Amino acid sequence: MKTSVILLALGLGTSLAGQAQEKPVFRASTDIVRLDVLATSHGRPVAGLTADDFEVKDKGVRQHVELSTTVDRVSVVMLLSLSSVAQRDLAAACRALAGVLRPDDTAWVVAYGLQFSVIAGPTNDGSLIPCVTTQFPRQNGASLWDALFGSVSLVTGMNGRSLVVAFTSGGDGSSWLDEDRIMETLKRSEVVVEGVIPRGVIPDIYPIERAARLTGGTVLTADPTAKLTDQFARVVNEFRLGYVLTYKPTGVRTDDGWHNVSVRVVGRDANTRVRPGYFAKGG
Amino acid sequence: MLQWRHTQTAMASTRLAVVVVVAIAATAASLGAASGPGRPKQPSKRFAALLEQYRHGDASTASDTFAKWKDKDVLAEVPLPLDTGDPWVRAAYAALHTEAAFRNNTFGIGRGVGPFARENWGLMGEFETHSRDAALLIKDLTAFAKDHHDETLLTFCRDWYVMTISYLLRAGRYPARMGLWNIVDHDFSEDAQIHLLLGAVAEGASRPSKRFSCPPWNGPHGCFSPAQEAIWQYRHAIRADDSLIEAHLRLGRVWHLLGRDRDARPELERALRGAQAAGNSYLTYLAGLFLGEVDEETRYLDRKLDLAAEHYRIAVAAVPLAHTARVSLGQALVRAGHDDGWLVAREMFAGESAERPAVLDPWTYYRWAQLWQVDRYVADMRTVVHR
Repeated sequence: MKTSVILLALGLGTSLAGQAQEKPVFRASTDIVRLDVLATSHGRPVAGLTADDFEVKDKGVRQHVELSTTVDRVSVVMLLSLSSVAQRDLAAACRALAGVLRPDDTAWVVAYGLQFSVIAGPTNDGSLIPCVTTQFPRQNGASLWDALFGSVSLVTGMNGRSLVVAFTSGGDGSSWLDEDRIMETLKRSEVVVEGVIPRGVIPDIYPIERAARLTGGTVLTADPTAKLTDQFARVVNEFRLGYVLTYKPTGVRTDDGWHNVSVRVVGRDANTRVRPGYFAKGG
Repeated sequence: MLQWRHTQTAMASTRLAVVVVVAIAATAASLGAASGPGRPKQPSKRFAALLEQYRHGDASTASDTFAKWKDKDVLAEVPLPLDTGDPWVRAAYAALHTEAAFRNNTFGIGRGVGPFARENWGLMGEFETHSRDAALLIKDLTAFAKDHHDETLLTFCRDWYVMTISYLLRAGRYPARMGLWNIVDHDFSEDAQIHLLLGAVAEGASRPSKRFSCPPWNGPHGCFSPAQEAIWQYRHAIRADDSLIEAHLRLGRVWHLLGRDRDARPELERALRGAQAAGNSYLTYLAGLFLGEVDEETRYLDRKLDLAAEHYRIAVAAVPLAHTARVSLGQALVRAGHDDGWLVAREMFAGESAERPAVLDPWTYYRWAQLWQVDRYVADMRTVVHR
């Protein structure tokens, strides 16, 4: 009898994998800072802004910013909890992902319980995402932090903008990484993390909210009256309506660790959502 | 240590009292079964053929077939106790029952009146039949092996407990596991493998991925927790067999979680050397992972994560597609300011899909004692009854 017979009976699968994946190119120069910014007014995204509409301060020093032109291309990981999210919601989330992909996008689906695993991707073809029909085996455990680090690694360095959408109860119970370590790595990433707490889930919202805020994302507690597919589409579409600002830091050191950054829209009644800072290389 | 054990003793006394009450209820509940047809004196021809196939033919197919038998057929065709003087026939019965229960994922599942009763494996009607029969046979065989100084049979029985307790740990069947825990704690009190097993069970109870905390009721004289029990067991395991690599590994891990890295490091380094010398990738992986974390935490403030990365790389080399070491190495590099940490982590996903999920990580196994060796235990069990 093989181990797998027993472990499959216990709800775990095993396999060895051997294919190589395409490697990302790290575009970020050590001295160029990139910010994903969502500008909203009365809860709705504000479109049509130019670089001159933004005031960006790095450690309190105003910077000259440019608006990146690569915003249309999105790399997205859908991160699904197998321990706390109902199967119908997982399938709905996958359908939603398939529905919002554009030709230039790249998508992955990562599922986690005691462990995590890529179950689809990379692809830009929604029809190739198999989870619409796949019945996910329920799995105890919540290795959210490990899975989040793995998901961020998938989209880091990809062309365009990078997003991880986590469908989760928000808590972690079995990761190797602890919360402090994952937060520190997120500070050093340019990926935006959004959390979605599906209906019927008792949320442990604080940890995932901390992760989201550190990256310029937010946590959406699912509206029980709304369709999950609509909510997911909203998350991705709002992300597309964001702006990518870049600047070469001036008037500040570039090797001294954490820099607080503030971004505001000048002359308009608008709020901004953006990561609170970045790590200068060598810090 | 003593305080923890005394607490356990007090709890055991309470449990015993409850068990007595519950046993009366269970006996009453099983009267219906007792009034039906009893167990046969001899095996049916069908079962005798199946047992022969298990011992000398295709054991896997025999286990599959037996697993599909209905419970009433098992009770009607398989005797218990056995009217045979050959202990290896009884061992074969136990092995076949065990594999059947594993295949059905029913080993140690209770049916009766409550969790306390489920710690008493002898109660009629309380357990799933295959696992109950196997447990009773093994208990009897252990006594026989001791009486006759049969080391091979005793090792067979010990390994059965190691395998099944590890299985129950994974399956989350606490009462059944505690029942077997109490038996081996008594019957194999000087055995290194059993000390290692019991230490791992205690360590699992203290959630190995988290720092142990000292509850306030322990007062100023120290912290008594399952971690202390684990240390006590691992030290006894090492005293009984200093070459037991996993005992050094686990002892080092617990010392680290208790914040005693001076004690942890030599144990983990010894485990790493031993695992590498033995070519054991599972233990090499874990030793590299644990040493990496010790390095990372002791050197983080001065930002010297190179040694941690070196140890994490040893773990990655041991099991290249397991996630935990990749995540550890990746995050250490990223925190040290190296972008290639993301690439290192990304490579772990090579070839994964819904049909080909991730390699089951040694770190995931770690919390389930000896489950990582279940293949070997089952193979050994088949070999030893093939006589």
